[in-house]
Amino acid sequence: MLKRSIFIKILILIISLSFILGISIFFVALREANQSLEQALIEESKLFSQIVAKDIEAGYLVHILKSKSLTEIIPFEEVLFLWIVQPDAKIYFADNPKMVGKEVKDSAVGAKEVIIKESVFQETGEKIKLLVRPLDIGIEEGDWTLFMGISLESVKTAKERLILVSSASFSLALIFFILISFFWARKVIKPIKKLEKGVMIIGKGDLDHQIEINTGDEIEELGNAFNLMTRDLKKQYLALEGEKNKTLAIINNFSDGILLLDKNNKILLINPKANSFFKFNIKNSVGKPIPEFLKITSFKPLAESLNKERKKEFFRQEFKISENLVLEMSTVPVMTGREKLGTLVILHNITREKLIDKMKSEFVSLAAHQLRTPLSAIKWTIRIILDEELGKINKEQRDFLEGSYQSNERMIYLINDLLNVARIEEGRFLYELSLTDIEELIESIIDSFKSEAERKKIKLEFSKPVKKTVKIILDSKKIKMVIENLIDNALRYNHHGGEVVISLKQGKKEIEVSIKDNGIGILAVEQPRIFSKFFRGAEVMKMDTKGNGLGLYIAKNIIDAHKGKIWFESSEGKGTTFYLVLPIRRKV
Amino acid sequence: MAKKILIVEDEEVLINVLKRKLVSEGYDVSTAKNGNEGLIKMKKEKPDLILLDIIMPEKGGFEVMEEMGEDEELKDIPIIIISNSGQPFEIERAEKLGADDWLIKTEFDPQEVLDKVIKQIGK
Repeated sequence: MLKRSIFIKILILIISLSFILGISIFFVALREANQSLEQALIEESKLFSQIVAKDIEAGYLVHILKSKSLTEIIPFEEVLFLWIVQPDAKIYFADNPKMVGKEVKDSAVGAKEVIIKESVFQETGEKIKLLVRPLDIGIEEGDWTLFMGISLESVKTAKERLILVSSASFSLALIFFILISFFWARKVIKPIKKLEKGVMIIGKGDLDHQIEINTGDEIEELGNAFNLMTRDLKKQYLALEGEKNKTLAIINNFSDGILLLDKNNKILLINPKANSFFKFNIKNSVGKPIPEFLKITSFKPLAESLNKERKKEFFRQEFKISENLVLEMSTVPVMTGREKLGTLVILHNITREKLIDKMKSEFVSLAAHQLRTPLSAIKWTIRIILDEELGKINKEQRDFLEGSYQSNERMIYLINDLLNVARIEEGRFLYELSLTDIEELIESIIDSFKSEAERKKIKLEFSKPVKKTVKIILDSKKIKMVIENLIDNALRYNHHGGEVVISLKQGKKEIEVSIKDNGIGILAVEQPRIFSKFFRGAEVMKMDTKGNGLGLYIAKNIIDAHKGKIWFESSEGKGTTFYLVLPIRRKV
Repeated sequence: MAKKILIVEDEEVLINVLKRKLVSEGYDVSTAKNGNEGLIKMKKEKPDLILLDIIMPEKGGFEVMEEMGEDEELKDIPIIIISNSGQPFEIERAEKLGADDWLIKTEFDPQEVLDKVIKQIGK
């Protein structure tokens, strides 16, 4: 039962309203009745006093009143007393002979007109109306007055009767009202109760429930609104259910293993793929915190990692679960706005990638060995013949052998470049950093190109700063490779009698090396692709068929790894300048 | 008395070239085609210097150096590695195992090999 049910509220409201209304009507009616009764009495008394006054004025007084008691001539029973008062306030005549000669102490003595006022009858103490009327009895000695006391007893009796009758009828009306209200309130409440029951059923999940109310009023409308809402709710619910099923289907069929953890590191979800890695018991695992899984040997390293407090939200780590299973675990925070709901753990099977990586490395090593061994054999054999260790050779023999030696050298370079590219792409192109005097490095490189430049009649110049350049941290072997490649290109794609100038400048934060030639230049259309792997310019290919299109690709990778910059300015037919900028770093 | 050099290398052409070059300089040269053979020969001949390849059938250069390090008689013989690849981690490992010098076959001429030999043990 409700504490403040609408039923009770309506009932109390109706009853109290009708009660107040009834009481008000009753009191108004009572007042009206009282007033009119009093008025009638007063009018009657006035009339009576007038008759009495006329009798007195006519002189009856002298004859009649002396012999008879005044009471005899007063048939009006409401009159309690009747006095004729002399101008000196002495009672000249009274209906009660005892009163004669007594003095009336009242301001109304000698009144010039009719006065009606409240007073008290001294003999009984009852409230009365006092009627005072002037008398004209023809004597010039002053104003005579008639005093008449009027009893209100009859009015009181009538009023009491009226109260009795009204109370009885009011009580009857009230009972009737209460009954009517009770039934009416019940009629209003009943559909509300029905509505309440229906809403409870819907709330418990029965979205097919229909609320049937046929009262034709607002409550029926409310019921219909509820039915519409339930229908929409069901539609939405089905859509949501479908969405959830879709998501679940995706998660269950995902090729990666997925674990969902709540913010207390309890497992909320394990998809079948994740389960296939560790053979959990899904039913027993969901809802348990990560530390409980430390017992499962295969999962232990992951559990330990997941259990660590981590500053970085995104995290990635490789785990070797067994000989045939390597997993890469990524954790992603699941957020709503700024609040962290939990963690999504993605387990990607990288066993195959690892195997391919290993095979690739092995292939590269194998290629290095298998290709380089015969090339070394050829190189050394030709060299020993050229060095005439095995006897004198003639000029023609020397020229042929020199040619083969150069071809072999190109093959060796190609293999080296291919291996370097393979290492760059595998991320195994390791850098050995050391404090290096770049000026010295450039000088030694230029020295090694001197003979080639002379042969081609190209002027090779080094323009270095007056002040000695500072030593910086770099991988001198790799940087040497880059500068050698750029000088080699500048000489290779130049004309007889051309010029190559290598400049070195030291800025505040960086060192700039430039290699300027006045050779064939790079076609504008080809410029954007110059650092791409295996790219060779059309002009370049006509001029020299021996390049492999790897040099600048490797150079760019090396400079990027040093956090430096490499770029060029070139105009067709006029020449090219390559710029290298390396940051000045003094510590590894 | 001539200095003794042992070449441990699986490529016959390279052995022949090196042997020719070193013999003509007056060294006493013997050869082995793999690590096992090399270890047997060095125990028997006690060479003054070993030229050692890394990748060889049966037993590679690293394993040979490991075994030499454990052998009191062999551990002090100078070694020059003659390798194919020259990757940093290879050089590092060889130096740890006691290699005294290092050269990459494709980048060196026989004359430069000879220079390194002279640097280690003289003429």
